Amino acid sequence: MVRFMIDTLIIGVGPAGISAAINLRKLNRTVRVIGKDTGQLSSLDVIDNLYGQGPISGQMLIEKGIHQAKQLGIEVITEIVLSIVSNLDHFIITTNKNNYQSKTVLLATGKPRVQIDLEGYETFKSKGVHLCATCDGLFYRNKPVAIIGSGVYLEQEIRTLENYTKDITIFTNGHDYNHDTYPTVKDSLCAFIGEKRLTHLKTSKNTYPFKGVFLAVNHPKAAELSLKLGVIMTDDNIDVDQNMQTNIKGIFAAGDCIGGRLQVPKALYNGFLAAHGINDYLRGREK
Amino acid sequence: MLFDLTNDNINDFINKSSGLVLVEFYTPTCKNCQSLLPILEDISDDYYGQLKVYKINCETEIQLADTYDVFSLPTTILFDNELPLKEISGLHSYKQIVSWLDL
Repeated sequence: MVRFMIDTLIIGVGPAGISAAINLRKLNRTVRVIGKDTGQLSSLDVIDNLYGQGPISGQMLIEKGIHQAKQLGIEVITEIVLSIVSNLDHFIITTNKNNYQSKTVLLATGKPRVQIDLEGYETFKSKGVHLCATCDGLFYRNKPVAIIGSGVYLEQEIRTLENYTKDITIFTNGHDYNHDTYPTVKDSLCAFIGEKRLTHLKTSKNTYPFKGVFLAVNHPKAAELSLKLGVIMTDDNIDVDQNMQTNIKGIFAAGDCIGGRLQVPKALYNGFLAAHGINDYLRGREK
Repeated sequence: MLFDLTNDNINDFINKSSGLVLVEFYTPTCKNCQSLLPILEDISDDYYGQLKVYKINCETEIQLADTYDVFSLPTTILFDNELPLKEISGLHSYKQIVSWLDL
């Protein structure tokens, strides 16, 4: 089901996302916030550098923020964003449950974490280890490939990969998961092996010959969503201009995912700037 | 717009006397590739006379991708006359590409 068009869809329920949502609401914009969990902050013990707020646990602060947004009539939903696709003058955001349409998107997903902590990952990244089936699938036409993951994101990536090859083996890395069509290997993964290029994938029990391994672990993180949109990043941080807009018109970013100090006040200010940047962008389009 | 090299014309543009040539391997469906193209167009303008910039569509020129060992998109290769000097994979900012080029 495709929902009606809104002004801004915000991904992330942390300080940057909620701050942007509240400020956009104040500017009379329609917003919706989607988050999968409370992220990095919930695991922190105490925040004690916020104006007007005594020491408070990260989890509590996040909950207060979400509550405040909901009181303003902002829809905050717990879903997993699987993809963002640009479509003429707007974006279509697909989650594990729905499709949404929005004129702009704000990425406030927190610090992009490493996809997988395996020996050889850095060495063979883009030398046989790939993060984007749409980009690199064509090099494996009718060739055997492995894909690492388990769940809805994996299934989405397989649907892309299938256009190039049907010789797919799924590695769940210890997770209990079965696929209707393709064989799954449930061993824990140990290493990516090769010389100049990847040649093998090593698990706790066996070594499998694969020249191509695609990653679709858990849910797509900021880095993967950005990659598939063509958003420019520098050292794992999303590049933005002074209005918090990325190189893709209509895609904005705020908070830890753009780098700088990983602190709540900085994220709040990013969210504020993004709200005004988005408002200016929408006003420009409305003229 | 960067000019597209193909298996048929590549020798006319990358050869013993072509000097520094920068080539982006891309496909029309790869968003990262599309974002890199305007950056390389800027580099082509800003470094006019120092290097030439072209692109290769891997969707149609899979053989060229194979020849240059390209397995991930976008991949950008700097040629010195006919020899590949160095390569960078992925989408990067103008600043990063310029610093990688090190002209």
